Order: sequence, then C-alpha cells, then structure tokens
Amino acid sequence: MIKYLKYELKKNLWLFVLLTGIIAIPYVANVSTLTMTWEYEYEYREIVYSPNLMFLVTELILLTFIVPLFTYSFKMNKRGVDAYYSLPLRKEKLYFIKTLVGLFLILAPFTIAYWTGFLALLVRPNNPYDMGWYVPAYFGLVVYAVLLFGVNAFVYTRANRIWDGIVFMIGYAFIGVLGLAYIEMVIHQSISFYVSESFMTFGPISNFGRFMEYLIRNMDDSPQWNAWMFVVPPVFGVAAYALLFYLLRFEKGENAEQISDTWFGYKLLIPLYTALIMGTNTYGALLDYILIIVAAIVVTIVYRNKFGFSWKYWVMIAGSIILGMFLGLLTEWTQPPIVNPPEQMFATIEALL
Amino acid sequence: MIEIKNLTKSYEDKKEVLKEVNLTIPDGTVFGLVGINGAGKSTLLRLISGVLRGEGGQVCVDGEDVYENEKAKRQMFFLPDDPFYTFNVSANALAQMYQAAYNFDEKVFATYLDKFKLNAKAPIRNFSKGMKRQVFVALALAIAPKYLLLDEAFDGLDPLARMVFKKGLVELVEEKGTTVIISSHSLRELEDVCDSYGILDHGDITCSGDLENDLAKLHKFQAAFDAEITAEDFSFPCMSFTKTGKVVRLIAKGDSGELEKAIWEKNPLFVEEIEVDFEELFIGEVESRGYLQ
Repeated sequence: MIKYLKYELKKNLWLFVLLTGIIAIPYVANVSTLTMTWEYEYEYREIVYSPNLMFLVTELILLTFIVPLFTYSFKMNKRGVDAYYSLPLRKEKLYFIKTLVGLFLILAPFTIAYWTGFLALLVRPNNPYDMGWYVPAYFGLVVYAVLLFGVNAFVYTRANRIWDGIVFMIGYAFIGVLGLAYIEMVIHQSISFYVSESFMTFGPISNFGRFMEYLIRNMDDSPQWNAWMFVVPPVFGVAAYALLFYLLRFEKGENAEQISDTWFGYKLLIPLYTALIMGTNTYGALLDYILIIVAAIVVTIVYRNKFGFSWKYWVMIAGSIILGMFLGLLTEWTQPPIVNPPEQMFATIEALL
Repeated sequence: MIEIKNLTKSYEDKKEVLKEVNLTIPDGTVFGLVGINGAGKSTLLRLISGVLRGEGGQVCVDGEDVYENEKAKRQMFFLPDDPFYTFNVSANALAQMYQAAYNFDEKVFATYLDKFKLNAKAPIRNFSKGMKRQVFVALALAIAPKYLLLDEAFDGLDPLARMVFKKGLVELVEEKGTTVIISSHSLRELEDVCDSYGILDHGDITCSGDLENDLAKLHKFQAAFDAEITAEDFSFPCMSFTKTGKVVRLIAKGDSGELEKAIWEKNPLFVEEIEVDFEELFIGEVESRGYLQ
C-alpha cells in the first residue's frame, strides 16, 4: 500500500507544483505589496487594512471543490474502473490512498502559500498585524479544509459522471442554507448571516477565516462567531468520510459513465430543492408553483437522459410537490396578520380629528 | 486453477448477461473465450479479474473468492479491450503504476518495447491503436502473472506484433506456468496459442473443451456432385453445409471413415477430407444454435 501511495504522490507531483504556483504566487505577491495601514490625519487614527487572508481561504475552498475531480474521476470512466478495480488493492485501500493524495493536493499548496505569505508579511517594516494569530488560524483552516474535502469527496463520488458530481457538490453546498431560509420564514425571525453561513458546506471555513483575519488585524468589531460553525462541519465531515468508505461495499464498477441514480444524488436533491423552493415561495402563487414543477420535471428528464421515465420518478416528483405545497401552506398559516397601510392611515387621521 | 461456479451477472437495465456460468480452467492452460458480439465475454473477464461482482455464484482462484481479494488479484493481470491511460502518460510512466502493484520485470518490459520499436518516453495518446496495444502487451508480459486475462487480445496488432505477442505468451506459459484466458474474434490467432476453449452464448458456456480433441471430432469434406444435393440428403447431420456450383463443403461430427462412406453413397465425382480449423468449429457451433441461418 505504501508503495502504491508513493506512486500516486509521484504521479500527482506536477499537479501539486501547478496548484502551488496558482495559489501561492498571487497570494504572496498580494501580501508583499498590499497597503497595510492608513493614517487618518484629522483624528490621528490609524486604520489597519486586511492582510487578505480571505484571498487564500477562497483559494483553499476552491481547491476542496476542484481536487475531488482529479482524485476520484477514475470511477466515472469505464476504462479507469477496469484499471483501478483490477489492481490488487481492496477498494477501501484504493480510496484511502486517493483521499490521502487529495488531501495532500489541497493542504500542501495551501501550506506553502500560507507560510510563504506569512514570511512575506513578517519581513515588512511597520507591520501592524498580530502575527501570532497566524498559527491557530493555520491549524483551524487545515481542520476545516479536511472536513470540507470529506463532504465534497463523498458528494462527488455519489455520481457516475463528472458533470453530475460537480452538480452534486454545488447542490449540497446550498441546500442547508435554503432549509434555514425556510425556517426563517416560518418562525418569523431573522437568522444571523453567520449562522446561515454555517449551513453552507463552505460557509464555516469562510466564517472562521474572516474571524481570524479580524483577530490578526487587532480589530474590536470582529465578526460574530457562533457554535454552529464549530459543530456543523465536524458532524457532516466525519459522517461524510464514514459514508464514503462504508458505501464502497455497495459500489458497482459497471455504473461508471451511467446515469447517476444514487440515493444521495438527484433523487435527494431534486425533491429537497423542489419542496424548499415551493415552501419559501408563498407569494408567487400558481404561476411560480407551475414553473418550479416544470423545472423539477425538466431536471429529472435531463439527468435521466430520456423523456419517459418510470412511475418511481413521477412518485418522487409528486411527493416533492406535495411536500412543497405543505411547506408553503405552513408558511402561510404562520404569517402574522397583515395590517393594511391605508386603513391604518385613515384610523390615525380619524384619531387626530 | 480458476473455478467459476453458478456465476450470474445482470446490469441495471435488468439485462441478464451471464446465467449460472460454470467453468473450470486448469493451471497452465491457454483458454480461448469466444462468442458472438454481446455474448458477455468482456463481462466474464471483468468478473474473473474482480472488477465486477456477480449477483450470484463465485469466481475462485486457487480456491479463494477473487472479489476484493488482494492475494488472489496479485496473481492476476487483466488487459481490457480498451485499456486506461491518462492524458500525458508515457509507457515508462504507465509502467510505474504496475510496478507499484505487481512484481514487475523492467528488463522484460524494455525488451518488448524495443521489439515493438516503441518510444518509452513519448505520450501514449500519440500512439496508434496498435501501438497502444503493444505497450499494454509489453506490460502484461513484464508482470508475468500466474493468471493473465486478455480481452480482444490481438485487436489492432499488426501481423509482426501478433507473432511477437504469441511467442511471448507461449514462453510465459512454458517458463512460468501462466494460465491465460484470451477473448478474441481472431479465431485463427487463438488456434495458434490456445489448448482449450469455451463458447459463450446467451449468457452461458454452451461448449467447451480441449481444442485439439474437439477439432479431431469434426471432419470437413469437399465433394463434387453432378446431381443437385442438399444437407438433408445425407444420412448424418451436417454442422455446416456450403455449396458452390457442383462443389459441396460440409462439416460433421463422427467417425471419419463412416462419414466418407456415407458421402460416397450419394455418387459424388470425388471426395476429399480437408483440415477443420477453430473458426469452422465456432461457426459450426453457432450455426447449429440457429445463428447465421
């Protein structure tokens, strides 16, 4: 296994160099030249600008979405399946090696860019930043990246075709926040942006990066942090890794290049999106509902790659429409009574008279 | 020894490709797997190599189930009909993948690349179909596994490369005792290297055995007749019957002398026995099952 891991690392060396170049060069160039402070003359106040850590965090997030394409796409190609599944390696070992290589391709370029950028900032004169925060920020970002890669790896490998995998990663990235938007409508309370963000797959790492950036800038008005950003990623990340390896025993080589018909794919995303969009769309009434239903049918036709599909899919669409209508009705029922503004105005005038 | 017991395989579209296949391939044999297009040859090889898992039955190698069995798979190399390589990979880089997983003889690999006159450092994507095949043939021979599975083995190879490959296979069998399963539509090539065969038809091995023995059971006669004659005129069943003008060619099973005597009873101008090849055996078998009528 070690021999094969070494081979995989060696094979991906060019990609490591490329990714390192792509993320490290612009980041280091950026931090080497950025304006760090601005003297506000009249109030004798110094404003500390951002050290642009979020620039690197954004690149890290992108890596967690891009690297699964390089790491696991072999299973979406019949020839790749023939080559890899005939090797004398159990699937668990093969995917473990691929996962390690994936993590290497994310963390190694990030680490190089991060610490090179750190040194570039450190050597700059009159550095206003609290550079000590870079250490916990690094370890925190690494943990978040490992967890996010786990989620994306699991979601991507549910697909039998590359494009389906990309759609799944994007679909799962926003489903949580849509669910939260619905809850917000039902309870009539605004949920903090930072809490909502924790339910996007890439939200917590972004939130954490922003939080650490404020600490590095010694800012008092640091953004809110919330318990969700520390609870949600480990729960979903660990579950994703566990499922990724557990479900390998049901993995079928012959599914490569076929329709992605797994339960964690379109079969879950289409009903969830349909029901939640219908549920949050209470004001649009009939026309909007029709458009959402048509969209659900069209997406099912596109992913099934044929016009006619069996009763199971009609049941899936019908079920999500019923659920969506129920959610919509629930939103309507829980609406507070609307005060008619003209009536209120006349009442006020009458009272004045 | 490879033992296939009641092996069943279906695909998602409910198509049953293999139905309770039973087959035993003894060690050191070169087994030719033949069948019409879509018979399930590639599926059977993928099941034997552990790429796929059957819904029922078992594939055992030296008594152990092959699926997800590293020990069994280490003794086996599967060369599919359309082998995998990445965009910019060279023959040498591809060899590294197999070096990491198998006992790999670099000298043998270099020797065969040299024989095929292939540039080991050039990207494989720029090679012709036959040249790509040659790279994988060199890999298979360099791995020299105990069990070698070849799908459409001779596809794309030029006559010279076929000769080198066949010679390499024979050496492998003689020196290492390798068991080879070859699926191919080039039955003349298979006849050169195979000592046993199996015909896959409608998801089952309908005919298998020792190639030389089974060929010896078939007799092909060429005869000329003045009168009109059909296959039904003979007192024995014809596996194959073709007529060009006055000349008739027929293949039948049975005792050679008895068959010739039966033909002479129909007053031919002449009768001669000619050699039967594997292709004729195959065509005779599939014709007798209602194909190509």
